Amino acid sequence: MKPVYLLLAFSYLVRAAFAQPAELSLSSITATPGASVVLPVNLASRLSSVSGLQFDLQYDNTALTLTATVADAARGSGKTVYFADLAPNQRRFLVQGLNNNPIIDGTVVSLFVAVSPGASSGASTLQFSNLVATDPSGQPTTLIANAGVLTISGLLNPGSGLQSEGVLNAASLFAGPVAPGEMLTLLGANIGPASPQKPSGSSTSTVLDGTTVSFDGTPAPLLYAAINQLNTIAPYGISGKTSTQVIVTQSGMAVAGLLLPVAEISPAIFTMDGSGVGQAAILNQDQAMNSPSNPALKGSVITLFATGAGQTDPPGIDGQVASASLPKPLLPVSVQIGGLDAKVLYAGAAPGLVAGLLQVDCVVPPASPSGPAIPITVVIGRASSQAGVTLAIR
Amino acid sequence: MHKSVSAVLTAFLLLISKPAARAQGVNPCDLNKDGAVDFLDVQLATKMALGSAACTANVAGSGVCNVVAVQRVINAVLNGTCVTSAPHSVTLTWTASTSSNVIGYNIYRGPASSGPYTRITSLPVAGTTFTDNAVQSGQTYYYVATAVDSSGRESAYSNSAQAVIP
Repeated sequence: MKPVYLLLAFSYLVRAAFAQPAELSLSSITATPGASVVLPVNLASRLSSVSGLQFDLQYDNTALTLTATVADAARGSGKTVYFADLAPNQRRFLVQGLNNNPIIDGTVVSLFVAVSPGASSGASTLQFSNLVATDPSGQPTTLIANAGVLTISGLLNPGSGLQSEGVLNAASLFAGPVAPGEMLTLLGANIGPASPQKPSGSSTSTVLDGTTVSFDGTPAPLLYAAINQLNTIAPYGISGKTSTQVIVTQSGMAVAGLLLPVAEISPAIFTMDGSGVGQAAILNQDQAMNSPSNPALKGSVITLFATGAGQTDPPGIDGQVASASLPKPLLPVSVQIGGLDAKVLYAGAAPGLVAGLLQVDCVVPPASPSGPAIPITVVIGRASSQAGVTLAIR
Repeated sequence: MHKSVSAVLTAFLLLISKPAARAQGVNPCDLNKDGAVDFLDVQLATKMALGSAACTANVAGSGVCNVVAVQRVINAVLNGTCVTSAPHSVTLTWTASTSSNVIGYNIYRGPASSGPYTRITSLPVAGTTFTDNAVQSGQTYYYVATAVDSSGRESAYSNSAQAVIP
């Protein structure tokens, strides 16, 4: 039997060394001019161990506009996505986290593609180049890719500029049911003004350069409006409903509409880079930002910011800036740091900030682990915030 | 269509020189040279990989700023060890096919001259050279190439070339 064992061992080594290379792939889909579609970038690691990867994507920027969020497979591995434009038609993506976890197979990046209303019919290829991958030890590993083809076909469809997949919790960037007072990021195609707008002289406005978002006819506070992105807050009036009709208008004309499910709560913690993964947006006890370079002390008080806490007491008022009255969530709020319960000192409206933003002050458990990326979650009622959010503890 | 890549595939093992010796006490993963290897260095390595900052890192080879370099800085933050060995690479060159309508070449790699071979290029390589940067020390690799025409048809494998990675 001994030779058999040796043979098996040898076979394993050869298999490991010459595993099929990891592969990225994009789906091929069809969209109409003016539509917004989501293209998943999928990773099949096969027998490779990929802890980080990068790629460039070339596309026709005269027909397509790209926005990207980190997707489940990367998020579940503690990774986030970074990107930068190398040229108007070439964007570099980097998927990595402050760890050496292998990335699990699945969708690593969600590409939100906005098709120009004037885009010509035909195939538009999204081409990969400059592929690089690393294993957990920092050694390069082979990565190949299959391009995706977006076929533009049909007539301009003005109502297709916003899909339910593009209605995201502003903190986690997860799509899903919307909760009263939840801060939202809407990613779509041609749903806002040509030049980016922010409210002037106030935190929010229900109209930004002619753009509005309403939920069952109630105007929602807008925090930001651009041609392919709107940042808004779900009105508290949807509390108790099972669904809500969202309508985006420009100069009084409806440009997008969706029926969305409503949830009581949809908690999520804001992160430093806005990706919904990694370092949380947390203030240490001295009011300095928490980071791996500035960790919190055990036993000290930290302040985190979240959204999706649902209805409050007293009831939330859309767009109101918290001052004398500091509404608190109806449901109990708890925090876990490194798997340990943290004592919550305060959970309610953030003074000076708009309704929908939840501030939580809590004590870092003295027994919590130390490290640059200790997991932290907020639980409101029975719902937990997104996984993969961390803080640094010394 | 071409029956083979009309070329003798020749593999050259290119040993990238080690990073230049550094002054004692200077940690190459301390990219911002502030005396500590920390999250700020990870951020800087990420910016370098994205092309948002000048590439001055020398942890994965001189002038190499990519996800491999970022991972090495991350590992240095996590475990205190900054690995800087320049990865080996294999550069292949071949003579162009004489067949008409050839748009490029696919490169395949395998564990033995008899295969099996796995394609390691996403797209046909337009030129007549290719560098495989994802090789491991102590391994022996065999490479073959195929010519690809404008219809996507491939030739048979070329002769194989061996590369022994020290």
